[in-house]
Amino acid sequence: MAAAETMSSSSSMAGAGPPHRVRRRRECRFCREKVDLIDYKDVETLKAFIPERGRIMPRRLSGVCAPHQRMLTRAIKRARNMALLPYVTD
Amino acid sequence: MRTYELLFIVRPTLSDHEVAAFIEQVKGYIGNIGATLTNVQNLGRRHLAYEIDHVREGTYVLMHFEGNGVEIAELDRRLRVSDAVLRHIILRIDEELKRVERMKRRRQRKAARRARAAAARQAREGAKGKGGEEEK
Repeated sequence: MAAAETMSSSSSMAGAGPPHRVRRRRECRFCREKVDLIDYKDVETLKAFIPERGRIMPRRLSGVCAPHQRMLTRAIKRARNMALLPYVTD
Repeated sequence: MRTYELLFIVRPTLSDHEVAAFIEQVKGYIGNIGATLTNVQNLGRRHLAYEIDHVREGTYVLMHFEGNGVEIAELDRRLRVSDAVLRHIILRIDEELKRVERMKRRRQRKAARRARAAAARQAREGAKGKGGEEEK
């Protein structure tokens, strides 16, 4: 879904910049939704940032801003402690 | 006054009745340390993400209470030694809640300011627009 957006925005500025450079989404999804608090009990939200391996998704992949990433990691770690999320999955 | 959140997992071998009794017991602990309970929620039984003490599920119970912060360690110790509890976590959340409140207020103020600015702009353009409408 994000890819389609990216495609159209890069094609609209065709010619400007190297062609392989895809324009990144500029706003973090928590900022866009104006999330003030990332709750460790909200497993559904947290799961989106845990790929199959069970590790926390880095900012460079998720596009989350630094303040929200801090909140997110803390929430994920708390959730793991309370057995809401796995520490490892294989 | 500080606001705390307590979440704990009760062992699945306890019956619903025993869980209810245990919740009462924890409420007692909270009362004993001079804190006031504001919310109790039995989140029900759910699968654990991993095995704890050879069990794969547990009953989650969430509580909120207000206190002055003394003897939180005592509550923590009681939960830790309790055989019925698989895991527990006590968090101080008043500062988080305050921050959330502050952000919300800030956004409201900003929205109000934007609305006022938009109204002013419209009024200005409306006054100008009258002449334009006659031209049409």
